[in-house]
Amino acid sequence: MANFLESLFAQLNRADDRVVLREIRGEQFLSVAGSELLEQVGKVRAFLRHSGIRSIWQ
Amino acid sequence: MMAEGVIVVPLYARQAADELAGMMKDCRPRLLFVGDAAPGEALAQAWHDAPPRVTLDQALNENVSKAAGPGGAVARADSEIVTIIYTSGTSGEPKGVCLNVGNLNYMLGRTTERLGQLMTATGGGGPDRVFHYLPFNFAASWLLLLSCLTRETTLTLSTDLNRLADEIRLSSPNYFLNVPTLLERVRRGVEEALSKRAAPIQLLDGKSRAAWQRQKAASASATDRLWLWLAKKLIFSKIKARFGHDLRALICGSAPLAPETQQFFQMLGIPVLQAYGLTETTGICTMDDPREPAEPGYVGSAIPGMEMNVGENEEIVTRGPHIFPGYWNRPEETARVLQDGWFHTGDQGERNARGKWRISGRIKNLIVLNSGHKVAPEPMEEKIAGLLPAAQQVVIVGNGRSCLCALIAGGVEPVEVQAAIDEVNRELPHYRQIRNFKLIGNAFTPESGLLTLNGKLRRDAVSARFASEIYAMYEEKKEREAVSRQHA
Repeated sequence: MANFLESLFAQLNRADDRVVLREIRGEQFLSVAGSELLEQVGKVRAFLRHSGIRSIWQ
Repeated sequence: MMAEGVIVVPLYARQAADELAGMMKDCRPRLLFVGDAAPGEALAQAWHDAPPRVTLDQALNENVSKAAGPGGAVARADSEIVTIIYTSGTSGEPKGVCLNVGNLNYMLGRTTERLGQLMTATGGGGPDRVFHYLPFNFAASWLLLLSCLTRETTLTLSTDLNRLADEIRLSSPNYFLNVPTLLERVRRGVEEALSKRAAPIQLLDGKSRAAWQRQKAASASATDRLWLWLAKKLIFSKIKARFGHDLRALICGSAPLAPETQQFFQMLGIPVLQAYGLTETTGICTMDDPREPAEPGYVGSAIPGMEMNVGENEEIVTRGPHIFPGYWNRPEETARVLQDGWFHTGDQGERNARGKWRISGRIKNLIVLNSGHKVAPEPMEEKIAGLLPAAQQVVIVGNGRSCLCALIAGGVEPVEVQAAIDEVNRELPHYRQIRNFKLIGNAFTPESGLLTLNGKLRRDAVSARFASEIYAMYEEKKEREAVSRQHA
């Protein structure tokens, strides 16, 4: 069975260009689609690896 | 970050820098992510050995290769810790609650299933529209974020608590998570506004409330139904519209919700679904079922797949896949609350014939404000007593209320007490400040029943003996606030 992170990634992949997260700024929304959020997650993960931060479990 | 195998420790930027530094010293993070530079600066002042800090924008804009690792989620063992969430202990010193992959696998299964039931039971449609205004260092708040990302949801995040009402209306949610403070503030605001309306509206309000009570007791007359129909058209629908056009339910947790407040929202046609749990139980033990009417004063049934019982002294004990593996670096504290697989909650409760739980009190002395903030009273009482040598006893109260107040016994003058409280308040975040006090003579002796034989405070007895003084303190505070609002 998929762990909770695998389920979350699968849902974000399915969401694709649908907005999954948004911030209200005054009367406007600052929105992020599923694919954009996945891209941001990828960038932060790459940053962590680059900074030498890695799992203590491996 | 969790996908990378990193342990995440959510912190709240509005907490005092000293407190945040204390939590970080305990868990020794390698890197500090901040939304903007300001909280990082304050932390660096409070802890000179703080880890390097990075803003999210910096991490997103840093030009690094993405080829070095997997892009999706990786297989994880159930026992791997994914987060440490700090919670106030009885000593006032925050403890790090570790939650692992197994805890989250289980709990997110239950929460996403329950949210699906909520949407189906209230007309279906999707994706869910969810509004969120609570900080992510609350377990329930963090759990909601993960639940929304796992379901087909558009999650709207608040960015300005001063504009909460506008933000809720604009985001037009299907449901959102609350602490009782907000719901009680809404109810008070509506009641104040109605009391200033024209006489016919006030009459309709009074008649419809009485009619609703009779409808609940299955004794409503045709006239009652007419009053309710009119109120729905002229009053309830307008209040409901403030929450947008498709609100299905409000979810409420973190502290006890007054049954009257839950009934108020029921009358408006907005179900309030309560949940009960602790960080140590991955946020949740019980949840109201959206497919059946909620019972005011009760927090729903135990979620499937775990056990929940009443132990010694009516203490709620629970075991199952939701129970945390332990506190970070505190094996003795872990052993104290985890015995033979059962987690001892420190809360007292009872289950009714329909399996729904009512939380009746706290074994430990921790005060839980209706905002969900937890405050250990003892360290603050000691500080105030230290500034008031003539005081016989200082007792802080506030469980289930909006703020803290203090009862002071002994030969002290009000002006001295106010000065001492002001001095202590200066060092404290807003939710831990004492907002009113009452002098109560020299009542504290073992013979009075207010102290144990070895001189320890019997808080339940104090609350019962001084119930009217405590009530008066909060009423005075409310009146003062009402006057200052009128003058504003």
